[in-house]
Amino acid sequence: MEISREYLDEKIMLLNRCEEEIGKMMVGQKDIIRQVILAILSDGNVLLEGVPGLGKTVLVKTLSEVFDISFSRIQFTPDLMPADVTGTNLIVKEDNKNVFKFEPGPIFAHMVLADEINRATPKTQSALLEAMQEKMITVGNDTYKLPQPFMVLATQNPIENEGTYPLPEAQLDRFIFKLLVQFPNVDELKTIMDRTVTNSKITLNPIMSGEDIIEIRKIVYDMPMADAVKEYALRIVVGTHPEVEEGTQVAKKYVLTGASPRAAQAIFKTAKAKAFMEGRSNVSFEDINFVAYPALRHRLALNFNALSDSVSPEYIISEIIKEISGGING
Amino acid sequence: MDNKQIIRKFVKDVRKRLGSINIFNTCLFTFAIGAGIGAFILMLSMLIPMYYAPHVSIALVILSLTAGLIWGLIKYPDMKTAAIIADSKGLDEKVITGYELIKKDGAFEAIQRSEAAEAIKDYDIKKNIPFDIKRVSLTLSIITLVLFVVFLFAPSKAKDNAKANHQLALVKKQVEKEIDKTIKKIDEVSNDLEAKEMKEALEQAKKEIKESNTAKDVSKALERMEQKMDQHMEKAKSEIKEKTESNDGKSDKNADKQKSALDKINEARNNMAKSIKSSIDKNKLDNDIKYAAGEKNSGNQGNPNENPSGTGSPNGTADPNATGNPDGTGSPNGTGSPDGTGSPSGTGTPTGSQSQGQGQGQGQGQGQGQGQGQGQGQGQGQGQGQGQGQGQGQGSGGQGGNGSGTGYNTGSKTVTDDKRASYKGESISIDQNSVGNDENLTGKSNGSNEGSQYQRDNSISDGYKGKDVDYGQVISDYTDKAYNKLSQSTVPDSMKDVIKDYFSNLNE
Repeated sequence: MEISREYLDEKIMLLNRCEEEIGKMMVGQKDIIRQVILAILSDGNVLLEGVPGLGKTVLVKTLSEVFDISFSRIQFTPDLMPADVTGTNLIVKEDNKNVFKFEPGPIFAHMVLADEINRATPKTQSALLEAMQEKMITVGNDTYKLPQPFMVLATQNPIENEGTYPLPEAQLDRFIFKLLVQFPNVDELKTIMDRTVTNSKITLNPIMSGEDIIEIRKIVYDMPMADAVKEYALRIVVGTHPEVEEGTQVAKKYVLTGASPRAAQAIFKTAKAKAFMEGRSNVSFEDINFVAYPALRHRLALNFNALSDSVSPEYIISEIIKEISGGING
Repeated sequence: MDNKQIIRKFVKDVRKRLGSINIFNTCLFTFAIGAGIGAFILMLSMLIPMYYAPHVSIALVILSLTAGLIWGLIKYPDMKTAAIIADSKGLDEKVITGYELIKKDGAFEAIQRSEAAEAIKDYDIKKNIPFDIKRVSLTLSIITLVLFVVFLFAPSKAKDNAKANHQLALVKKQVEKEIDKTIKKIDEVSNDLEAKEMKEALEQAKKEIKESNTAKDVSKALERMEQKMDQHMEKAKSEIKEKTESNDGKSDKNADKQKSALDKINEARNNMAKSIKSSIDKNKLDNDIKYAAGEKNSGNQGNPNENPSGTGSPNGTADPNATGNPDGTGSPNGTGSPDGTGSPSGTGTPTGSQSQGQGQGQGQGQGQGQGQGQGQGQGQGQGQGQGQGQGQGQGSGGQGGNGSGTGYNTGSKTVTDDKRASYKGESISIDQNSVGNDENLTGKSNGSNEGSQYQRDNSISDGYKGKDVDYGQVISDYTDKAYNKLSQSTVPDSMKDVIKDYFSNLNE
């Protein structure tokens, strides 16, 4: 694969067309769409948080159609078992013999929608851990690779906490982004009504293939990044830690546990993807700032002060960025 | 120029601009601080005499500018910082990435450099990185500069005092140096008693000058020193003369040596006087420090037989001519002619083989002259003369059994007692025996507005051993004694000043 300007432009154009195609179905939510694409290009999983009815499931379905990849949906409930996710060995008759045959679960798809993931028991939630991080699952003594590209898009409802099992920190850390799906404004809502409460049907065209995604991922990984930008990103991550000297004031006040190195990886990858999508061959500070919020918000464990002061992770991240960028520019 | 060179040159240009802005602002800031402190010092110098305040303030401003320059150079941005700053003005980190990738030649790096070079083409450094002067620093600098200039040039009494004090200190230093030189010279040429006393007088003067705080004090100390030196010189001269006479006028090796030493000391004094005078003139303190040693010395070296007219010059410089008749003829002419109306003369014509003469003159300004002649003869003749009038002449002849002396007065008839009030007699005749009339000796009017004349016969003059002592000498001796006592006593410093002032006033 010879990288040239033309080649890059071609891939960028494909991505832009994808965005436009998704936009046919999804009204508004441009940032969410962009961030989900970034996560796909960065080989990451996404946790979508929002009240019911905001189009989370529609988004995932649309993505799978536009990217022309396989899609499966798992509705997480308290009685959902791990085998319901991963698949299980069934006794089947083959050549007049009863043998165990692995029957793949819904996890075996390019894009898996784990709907209301927090309603399942931790045991079932954990079944996703290996799949999300290692892109493989183990059933019994056998390990099965998942199809590439693979990604999990999980949704959770911020309200109705009764009967839910909040995701453990280890599992949260495996999501490259946590996206907050906002309620659409009046204009957007009107458009949604026009599109959905009519007989008109929107047809989506597949724009990219799974191979294209993998190819773009490789390009994105090669994207150069200046030392100053790398340092900036790392300082933001370290700035979330209250226990280190480089920790920021706001982190020392409100954060119990800072972001893991996986957060830094997430920022680096997605920042590169963002720069690529915008047609640049380098990562800027602004790219870092953009991806820092979805990459860090679910990785910060807040302390009691934050809860009592009603401080959100977004506020803490914005303060950290202010402090770090002030130091860089000053 | 390839993309690498374009990026490198661009970063260099940005760095240069940022560096110059940085240096300017740091200089401005440090200047504001330096000028502020300088202005404060100058303001203080308007209240408290501080001679070096302008020098220190200007040095401070120069120092602050230098510090600003050094600080600016230390904080001169490096290439990466310059690239990042340029990127922050809309280049989205293209330049820093391109700059860092200069040594890499991958496909992606080449594409990135190309993008960076393209972005740089349309980048106006001057527009995007304006020469941003920090307003706070600029405002402060202008304010402090204005204050600085105002305080620097605004006149004040404290400044004048500081200048005067400084000039005085310079003069004091020069005087002390000259005194040291003179002492050294005296050490070299003589070590007899008079030389030691001269040295002591000089040391004392040096000490007084060192302790003096005003030009007046220095002036007085110098005056006292000169008086003492005069006395010692005269004494030394007398001794030499006595020696010469005791040797029947024949050349005495010892006396010659002493005379030579005296001449050298005199020369040293003259040199000292010239240097001191020069220093006083140079520092423009001639209105504050009256120092006429040069003239005095020349007067001392003058012909003692000259008419002691004692004319005072209006500018206040003394023109004392030594009077007296050292040849022992006893012919002292004392002529005071402050306005020319009085012309008293006193003559004594003792005849004798051995005689002594002494002359001394002193003049004062403002049209008032004083003259004094004193002669003393010893031998067979005896005479005494006295003048009276607006001027005063006094002469005393030697004493001898067979001598005769006459004195007459040709004073103007218009002279009245009332006018005598303005007369300041300098000569005091001390009658060493009880015989004689002090009234006559003080030159009192005879009541008829005419000159008086009387002749004293031998019988009267037998017991009369009058001696004229200079008023200044008496006061000087008295002052010296008082000062010596003062230095040995436990009188408080404040009272010492009072006492010194008292004697200083006596000396005036």
